[in-house]
Amino acid sequence: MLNLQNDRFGLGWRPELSSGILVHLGQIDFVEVIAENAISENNKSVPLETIARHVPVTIHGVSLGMSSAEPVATKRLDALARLIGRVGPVSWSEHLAFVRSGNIEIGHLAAPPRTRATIEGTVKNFDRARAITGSAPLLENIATLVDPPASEMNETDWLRGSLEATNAQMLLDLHNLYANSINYQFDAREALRSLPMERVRAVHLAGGRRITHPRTGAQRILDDHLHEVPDAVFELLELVAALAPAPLYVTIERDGNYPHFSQIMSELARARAAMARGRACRMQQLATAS
Amino acid sequence: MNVFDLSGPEFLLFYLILFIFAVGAFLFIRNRLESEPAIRIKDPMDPYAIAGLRRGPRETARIAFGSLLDRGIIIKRPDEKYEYVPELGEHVHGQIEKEICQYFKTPRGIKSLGHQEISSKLKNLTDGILSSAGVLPGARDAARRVTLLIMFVGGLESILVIKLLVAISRHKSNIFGLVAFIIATPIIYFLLHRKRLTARGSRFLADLNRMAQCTPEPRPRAADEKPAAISHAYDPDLVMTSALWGPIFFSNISEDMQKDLAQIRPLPPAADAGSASLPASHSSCGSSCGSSGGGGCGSSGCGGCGSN
Repeated sequence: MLNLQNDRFGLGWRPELSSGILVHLGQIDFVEVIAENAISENNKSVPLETIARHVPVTIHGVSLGMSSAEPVATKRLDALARLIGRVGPVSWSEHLAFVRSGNIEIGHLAAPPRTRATIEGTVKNFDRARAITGSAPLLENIATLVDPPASEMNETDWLRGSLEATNAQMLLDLHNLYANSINYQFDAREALRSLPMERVRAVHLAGGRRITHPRTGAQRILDDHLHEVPDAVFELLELVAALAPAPLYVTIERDGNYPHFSQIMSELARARAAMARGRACRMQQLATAS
Repeated sequence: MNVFDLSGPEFLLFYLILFIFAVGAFLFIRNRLESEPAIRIKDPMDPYAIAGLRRGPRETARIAFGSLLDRGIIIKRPDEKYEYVPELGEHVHGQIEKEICQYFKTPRGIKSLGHQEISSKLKNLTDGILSSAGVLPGARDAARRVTLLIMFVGGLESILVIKLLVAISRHKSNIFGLVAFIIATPIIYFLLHRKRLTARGSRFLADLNRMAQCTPEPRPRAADEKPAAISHAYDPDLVMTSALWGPIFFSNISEDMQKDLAQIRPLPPAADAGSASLPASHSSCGSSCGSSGGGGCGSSGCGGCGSN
């Protein structure tokens, strides 16, 4: 029987939120730390180790460039491996994106062309990352304002292909999926149903804003992590809870424009409620099926 | 080799070395026994007790009094004295608040919070909470400590007494070194025995202080974020915030009341208190857990392609 109590709800650790997180640790199941921030400044991760003694920690990388034709730099993986060894996180994750080409750092997560070649590149980088760090990362879908040129498949097919080829588990970013569904006119709920939900182990929730394309005037959604999580994303979360069989780590990400911390906790409460409704639906479905 | 056959100076040297190893073993064993189970900041603990742990019983009084003021359960009279409002008694939370309210049934100046009468009651209550949590030795820890003390002191004293008897039987007159050790050994062990915090308590406090020290102070509520009416209900998150960063977060307290609260200053930490040894600066934080704007490769966070 599905144990609903195994779902966990946490926040992205940011210095601006850290005092609120410290005060509310009793109501937060885990915190997610950005790997590069923890590694920076000569690999000193204190007080990350202090935090890890008191609350489970997940580590989230943003600069490996897993879905890149270029191999991920060994130096980066070594630093990550040391961090993982020191902190002992529940899991670590990275993006299905590329972030550099040659010597050029893009500075953002970029969507690679959705082809078999990029899936194969992802597999190679995933295998190297697992070998060097000693554990396999969860792989996260990204939002993109640019429909990757030379693509041979759509987003969900490429995601499914990448996850199956690597045999990886997924960190499902619902606002990224939502933003892409608005920007490229597909049904986010149908996309969820076609993803391998049995691989989903973690969920990201975030907010964004509408922007206007300077030339076409078209409205797009920018996933900027500077706004509250929209209602539509909570609705998707409820569906995820109904579809995903495994316990999930649900993280709310906020990178700036911080409201009073009570608002962040309200979002966390909303996430718990959405998951509870979804899990109840799943249990009903399972009971009906049996 | 029979150590009791050693000459006086040789025996004293032997004993000194043995004593040093024994002290090390005593501390090591006690720390191992008192390390588990670890206390996590996530675990529920009364924030008033946390305030007291960090800065002593006066801080417990200051934060609890501040919370009661903030909720209107204690008010300031025109004569500058403070008084409890019994009609709001149903909103008093926990024994610590009850003691303070009881104390202020008689209108008093705020400095009376530092008086022995209330201070010792609050200290006892706080110590009780901290003992239950394992920060201070509880009954089991205390029993273990006594057992260890008896074992080590008993063992060492036995060696000294046997040597003393041997020396006396051999008509040795220069036994003052032996007598000095016989007196000093239990005194030193008793001083070691009196360590206020358990090993798990020391670690908990050190971690809590470090995390509080290395995180920026919270942002108080803006005027448009405050509730329309004062709530009399106890807010554990607000109290915890105040326990970590001070009573300035009680936003319903007027400036003159905040000045009054500032008069309840924590006493300087005792040598072995452990509880009030707050570092003066943030210099030990290192890089902390993240620079600002921790999301993604750029300002757009983890998922996007960047700003427009």
